[in-house]
Amino acid sequence: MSAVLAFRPFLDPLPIWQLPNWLWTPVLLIPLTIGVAIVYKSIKCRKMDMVRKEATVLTLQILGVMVAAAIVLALLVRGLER
Amino acid sequence: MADSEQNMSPPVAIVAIAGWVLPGAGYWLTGERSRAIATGVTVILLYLAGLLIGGVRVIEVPGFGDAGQQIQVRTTNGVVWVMSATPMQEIKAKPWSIAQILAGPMGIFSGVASVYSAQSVAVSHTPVNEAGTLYTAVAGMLNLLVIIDSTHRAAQKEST
Repeated sequence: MSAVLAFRPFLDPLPIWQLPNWLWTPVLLIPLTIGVAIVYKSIKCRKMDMVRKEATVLTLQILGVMVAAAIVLALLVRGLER
Repeated sequence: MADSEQNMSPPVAIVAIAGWVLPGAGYWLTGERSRAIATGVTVILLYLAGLLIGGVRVIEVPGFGDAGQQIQVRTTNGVVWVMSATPMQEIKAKPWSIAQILAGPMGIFSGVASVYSAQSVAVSHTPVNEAGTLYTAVAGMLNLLVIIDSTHRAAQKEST
């Protein structure tokens, strides 16, 4: 609580360590993925009406591949540990 | 008359410079307002999110050390600022700064703020700092894509 009160926006790093560990990656990854998808699809789509749907699909694809890669790496590490 | 006005596009160089000065402004000048707002707002929000996540010290300014002091090197001419002696080596040592400056004047202003706040705010060595650096750098690289695409569209309009 005191760390949150002492937090100075744009000067100090966001006290993300106040959150449970499993939440760190989604909190940091999802906004970046959405931003990349919006800009990329805004460039690629001929009509801007299509951007919302296309960017949503791309965001889910990126997140899906990230989750799959994380699972594969976790299994690989556990396999190598044995 | 209306058609000739719609086809009129500012010079490609002006579109490129406007796109750097204000992300998305290149599209705005070529008449693609909704594309300008979508890309510009997203790039600016990503950059600000990076500063919010990691703090302003995620901006590593070439030529300045962790405490905000000018980095000096010894040469045959005496002790000089590293940016006047070996600028390319210094920039290569801080490669993220290249991507961050592509976000436009935001990159310059936050770099100045980073140097000025160096006395009171230390550089974080947590993963949060890396995430902040990544956000600001990705925002800059996305803005480069936006600049390239808007100038390409401006050139196509110019040729028609």
